[in-house]
Amino acid sequence: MKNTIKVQRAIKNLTQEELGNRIGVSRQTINSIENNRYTPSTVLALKIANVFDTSVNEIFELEEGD
Amino acid sequence: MATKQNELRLLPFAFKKIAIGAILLIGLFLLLALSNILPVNKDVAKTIFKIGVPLALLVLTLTRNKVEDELTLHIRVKAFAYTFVFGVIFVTLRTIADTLFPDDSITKMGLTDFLVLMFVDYFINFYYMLRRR
Repeated sequence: MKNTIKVQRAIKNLTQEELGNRIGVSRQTINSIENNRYTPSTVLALKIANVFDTSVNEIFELEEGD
Repeated sequence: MATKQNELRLLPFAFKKIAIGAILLIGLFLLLALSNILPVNKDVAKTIFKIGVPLALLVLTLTRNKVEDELTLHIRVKAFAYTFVFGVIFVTLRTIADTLFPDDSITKMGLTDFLVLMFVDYFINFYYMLRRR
């Protein structure tokens, strides 16, 4: 599953640490999600989408084989 | 949305220090007892060590990290699973070794030693995966 968190962060001028603090997870967790090493739960995906004022579909997208 | 399904009931972070302190104290107590500095029965000291260390390690295992999020929980559960597999393989191999070499002292491992080995394996798995996340 690919995501656009890095781009969204750049638009909002947020660091991984700041995004993590806003949704209650560590910087490492944000890094793992960004690099597709970890797929977040629905709740966390919704929280991320809330921070960027957008929908989950705008941030996460299924890839071939998912 | 008050979803609680991704939570594991763990002890507060402060218990980490208590558990580590207990292990150090029990170790020191055993050391002093074995070297006759403390006038304590050595068998009693060994028994306290055998009961105290696994219990302290259990508390350490069930204590939350400073930052405990869903990825930490995911890693924790994975580490538990790997340790379980390790335990089964270890017991299987040990049983075979006991059968093949019945008089070999290397295969004579007590329950406490086995428990401590399981905890050590868990901590290696957990902290290795935590560093690589």
